[in-house]
Amino acid sequence: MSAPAAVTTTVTTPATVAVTESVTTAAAAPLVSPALQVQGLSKAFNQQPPVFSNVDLTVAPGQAVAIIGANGAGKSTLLRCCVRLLEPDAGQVSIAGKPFSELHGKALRQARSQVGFVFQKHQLIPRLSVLSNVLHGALGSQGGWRMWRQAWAPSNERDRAYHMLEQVGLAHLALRRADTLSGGQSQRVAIARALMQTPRLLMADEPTASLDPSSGMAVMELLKQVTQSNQIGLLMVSHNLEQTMQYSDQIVGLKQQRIALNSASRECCREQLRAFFSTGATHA
Amino acid sequence: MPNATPQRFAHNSLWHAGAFTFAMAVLAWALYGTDFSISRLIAGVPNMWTITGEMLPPDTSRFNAIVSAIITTLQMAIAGAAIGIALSIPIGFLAAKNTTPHPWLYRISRAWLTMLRTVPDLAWALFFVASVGLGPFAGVLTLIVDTVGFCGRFFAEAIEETDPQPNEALAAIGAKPVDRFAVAILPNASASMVNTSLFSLEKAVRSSVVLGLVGAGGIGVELAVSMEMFRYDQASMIILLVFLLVYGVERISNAIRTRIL
Repeated sequence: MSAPAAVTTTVTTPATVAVTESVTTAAAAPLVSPALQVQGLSKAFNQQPPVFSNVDLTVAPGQAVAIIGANGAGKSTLLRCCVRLLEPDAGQVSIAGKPFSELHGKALRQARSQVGFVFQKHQLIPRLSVLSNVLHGALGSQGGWRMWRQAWAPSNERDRAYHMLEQVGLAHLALRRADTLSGGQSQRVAIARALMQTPRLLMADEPTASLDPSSGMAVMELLKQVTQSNQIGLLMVSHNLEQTMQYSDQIVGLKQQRIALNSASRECCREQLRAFFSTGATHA
Repeated sequence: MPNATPQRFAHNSLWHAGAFTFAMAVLAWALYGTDFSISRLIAGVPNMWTITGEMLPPDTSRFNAIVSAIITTLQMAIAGAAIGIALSIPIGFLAAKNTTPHPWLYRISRAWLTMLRTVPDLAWALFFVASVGLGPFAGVLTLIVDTVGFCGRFFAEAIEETDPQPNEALAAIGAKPVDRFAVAILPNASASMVNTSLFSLEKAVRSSVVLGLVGAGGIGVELAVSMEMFRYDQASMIILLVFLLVYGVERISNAIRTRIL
């Protein structure tokens, strides 16, 4: 997967020395804002040692960045802090060039409407139809009662939701109840729902963890295709190193509260990953 | 040698003996305070037979008037339960920890629901009869209050028990709280809320029979008059039709529950 823009990432080594490295993944210089820019992000819970501190991260449009790390390393917490589902203790976050950190209420909701989110468990509403679930993906940018059910939705939004289902290959299941789908199908619907937002950034928290290997590969292939073709930045958390190497442009490893690995996927070898997980990785 | 198997009971037997003695003392106190008497019960058995004999056969001479009162009772139950259920949805929203806009609103709405629930429906009926006069309207107002107290609490608990993650998923993309409530919380709580609503309808039918005894309309007025005039044969006709009404509503409610849930 190639990213069309230059990516700048700051790596804080275990020795806490900040090193800035530039990884140019395509020839063209970026003229658009990064999909995500994180600077100095820190988070601790209830006077405990920080889950992570001083994390810097950039995701360019169309680029896929994977976060890896042992259980409890703070990967999911980092994702939630980026959209302020959890409040970070320090640091700045910008999504599509828009600073996120000082926003509240309506302004925060509007800023979040630039983001799509795919969770480990798809988080669909089981009693509703597939098409209604996809439609809900646009609630960030267009709320109101007509968007609650597919039967009440404006025609253009309904058509757009159907088109999203076509993109993930499930248009024929549009009127089926969501709780009748398989795990793989549900996750594809979750991706269609995330795309309804026309996001600049897609976050995926272990999107294949509850799927069998073949469904997992299909979902990753779909994520790769839709984010590349729509120039959406992808930030994903994964435990599957094979998928991480195959489907991401950049691998970021969280360990002992810091970014201990930051490497372009094509330059990252198995030995590097093995060394990352073997030396002092925290296990939950 | 392996460790010894743990003892069956963690507490010592003295504590258990004390607790048992206390429970028995409370029961004896309650029986004494209510003049509970086996000999009086036995002495009353012939009277029970006499009254039962007078109840049979049921008197059908006032069948049309009784059926009319039964229909009024059913109308009271449907109106009271429907309005009460509708009012319980916003109150349940305020009284659920995960959806209330402010902790004070949560506390006030919970206290309000507790007050509605703990005051007996007969007391509410007396209050509304005194306020709006005799008749079924006072009964409907009583059933609304009774239904809100019952459904409001259970709706709030159904909302609190919903999976928080679909709500979080929509919060992450900037959906408004009202949209999140409508699409992520309400559909997940709806099965439990439908179940509670059907129970409240059954409860309203049973309550509406009793409310007539204090002048709040419906079949209860007919029953009270028949018993006061010692017309046990008319009373048995009323009881038979009330049984058919309650049984019919429960059967329909069970059928809807099975189909929806």
